[in-house]
Amino acid sequence: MRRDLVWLLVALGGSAGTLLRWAVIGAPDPTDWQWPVLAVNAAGALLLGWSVARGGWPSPDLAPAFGAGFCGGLTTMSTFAVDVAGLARDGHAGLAAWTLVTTVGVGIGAAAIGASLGRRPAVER
Amino acid sequence: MTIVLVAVAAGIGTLTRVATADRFDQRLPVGTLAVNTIGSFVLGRLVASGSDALTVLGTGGLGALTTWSAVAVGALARPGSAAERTLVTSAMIALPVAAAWLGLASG
Repeated sequence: MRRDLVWLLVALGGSAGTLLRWAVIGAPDPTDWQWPVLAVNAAGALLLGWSVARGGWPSPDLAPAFGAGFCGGLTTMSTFAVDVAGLARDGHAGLAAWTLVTTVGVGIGAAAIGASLGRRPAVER
Repeated sequence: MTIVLVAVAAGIGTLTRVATADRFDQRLPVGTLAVNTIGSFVLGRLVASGSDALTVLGTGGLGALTTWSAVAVGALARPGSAAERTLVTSAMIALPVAAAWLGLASG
């Protein structure tokens, strides 16, 4: 596949992931625990872990569009970081710590589950 | 109209992140760390300033510029010792959070 087409698909994957994230979490709002942010971040980590473990699902040409594009766009560091910082700044240290611990724990756990599922022998392979 | 602007901003944010990661992520993921840290700072500023552009620039551009999935997968898959992975992952989270704090304070 042409290299510029690979990049175009990466951009489209990022847009698609972002629109899905927007639909799930709405605008950034660092005033309470935002479980939808945890949800999109865990989902994206699971899908990326799975794709990488499959050796770059769906194909070498399309793996960047799915992994770096869609999963990268679906997940976000900036909203999570602003949530943690905003909650801590406003005196909600417990909620800030909860957001931090759940994102790290569930997010990395989801990546591990995705990788484990991706390594499992599948009939279509 | 907003949905088109969010999609375009997301495409630009995604390409910037992937190009930076391609160029600078080596043994240490400094490219991804850089976009995540800068994006978190700018989002903090946008949120603090109550900008009308929060949805397009924040959710679209900065949300796509920054990423969690690569950090989570890298926490498990990066070469090196477990101690090195833990240290790198901690920095990948602590720096963006600190930058977001500064951004909120400066907005």
